[in-house]
Amino acid sequence: MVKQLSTQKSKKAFYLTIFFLIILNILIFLFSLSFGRYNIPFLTTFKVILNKIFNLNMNLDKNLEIVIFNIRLPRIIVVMFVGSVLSQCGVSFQGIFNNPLVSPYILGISGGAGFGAALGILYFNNFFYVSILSFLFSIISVLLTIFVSRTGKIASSINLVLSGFIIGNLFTSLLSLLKYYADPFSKLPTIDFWLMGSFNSITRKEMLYTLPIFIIGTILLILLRWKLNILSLGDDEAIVLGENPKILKLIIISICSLLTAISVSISGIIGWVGLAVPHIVRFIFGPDYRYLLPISALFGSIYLLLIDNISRTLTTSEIPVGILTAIIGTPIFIYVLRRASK
Amino acid sequence: MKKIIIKDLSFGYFDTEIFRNFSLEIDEGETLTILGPNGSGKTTLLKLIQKIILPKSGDIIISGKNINDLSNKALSKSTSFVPQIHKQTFPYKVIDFVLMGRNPYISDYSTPKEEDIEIANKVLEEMGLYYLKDRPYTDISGGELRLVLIARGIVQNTEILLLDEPTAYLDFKNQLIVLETIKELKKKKKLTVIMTLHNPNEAYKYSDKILLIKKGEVASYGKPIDVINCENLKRVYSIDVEIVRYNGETIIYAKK
Repeated sequence: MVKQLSTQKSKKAFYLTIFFLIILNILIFLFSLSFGRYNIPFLTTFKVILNKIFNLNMNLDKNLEIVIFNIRLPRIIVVMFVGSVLSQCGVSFQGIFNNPLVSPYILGISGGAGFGAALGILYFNNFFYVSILSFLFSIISVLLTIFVSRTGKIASSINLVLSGFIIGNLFTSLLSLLKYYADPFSKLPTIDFWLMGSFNSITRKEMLYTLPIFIIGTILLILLRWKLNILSLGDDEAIVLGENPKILKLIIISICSLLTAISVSISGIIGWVGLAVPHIVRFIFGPDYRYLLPISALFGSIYLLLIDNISRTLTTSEIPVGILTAIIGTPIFIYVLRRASK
Repeated sequence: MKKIIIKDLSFGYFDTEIFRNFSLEIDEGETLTILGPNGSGKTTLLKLIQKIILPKSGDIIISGKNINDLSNKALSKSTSFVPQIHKQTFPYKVIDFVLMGRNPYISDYSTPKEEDIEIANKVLEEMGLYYLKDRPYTDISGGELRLVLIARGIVQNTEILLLDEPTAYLDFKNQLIVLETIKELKKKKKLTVIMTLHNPNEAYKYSDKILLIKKGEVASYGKPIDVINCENLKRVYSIDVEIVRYNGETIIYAKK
């Protein structure tokens, strides 16, 4: 009897946590819609939303609708998904590489994305093409990483991480080359600003293009969450427990690389989310991926949305969100590391 | 009945050949200990049976089925493997770690069911490890960790249990506990056990058969009393050995 209760208790606690986090997500989402340089009272926001959804024809300022639905909504939704997806990819990569210090950028994505974006800024100067090129080079860098890691006789996780480091650095050097030749008054600041990460340029279009992939990727990772437990024990033991680690790892790497590449291509390089969120969640809820992955997904969105709200409103001009995630992420990370090792 | 048949097995790491046309038959319900110097291929043989590594040529047949034709999942329902070294990266609770032994029975895209959790709990109880259930498995002693790894193998509910040096790094008492546990489990679950050991005393006492190998070749194979003698051990380890019988026990020690 006692045993049964204890397993049911942990499941119950998990469902309660999920429920609580979903409510929290909705509340912070609504709050973020009212919040900004142009502050809209919470009740008014609520009215505008109801008016739009149910076509109530209430007598409201048309500008409010534009601010809420055309400017803030796409950005907030994309921020939430990017936060969620970076956290999921960080936690998944930590599992398959058996290393808690691995980030979603471990396979060289940040270098490739930065180079692609710089190329786009230099030759097109159109946000859409910048995103496309950044996405393309992210994928190229991951494919190169996988290719390089396979030329060794043992295709181990260490090989992959090393190859990611090499390819990432290669693209970072190529990026420096582009920056060196870029016009220092117009192009160079744009490249630098892009590299700091920002959700400034998100419109409806970006939201509609990226949302389906974010949703499908999230569903797939959540379905595979038990396998991450098995993979986290290392390749040999995954075989002992009946898995085919090579194929399984390739599937998870593909999903995560696609999700990370898409995030980076529309928001720049946002560091520390994929590292800080998994550690906070693991510290509170334990390492079991059955719970860790869904909770990280829901906590990551809250975490990045709160930081993005700060970036939007702290000063008159927006602070790049990538700077804030690092400034806020590092002390949290240090705290969790110190508490966890006690 | 023959449980495992190994036929003309060849295997090498890079350019070092370990097995060449190696053949062996193992009876059902036996405890077989593989004994031999470092680098003689003991662990390699266990890994080949579990398909952690693949042979250059040759066949391994388990319960009449060639393991080449079995998926990892199918194989993991008939053999489980207790590794010598286990890297503990994340602090899983002991129960959650043992539960991972149910993986072969959990369908893709799913998580363990109530009955899987019950099986894991029951095995922990049977093995006297229930008190560890909610502890992080990174915080338990080396002896406890070895037993927890064995528990994961038992939870896998296989007919064959492979153990790679189950007594390595353990203190005197824990060596005894682990070997007694294996003996008891084998009897209760009617397992076929294959393990590697370094201590001929342990091998003599806890095996039905002993395979003495040197550089991938069978030096001697049979009942402990036939395999463990001064000539055989000298041939394999190149040291002089004395065997004493005292109070019904057999004690093997190296002479300087």
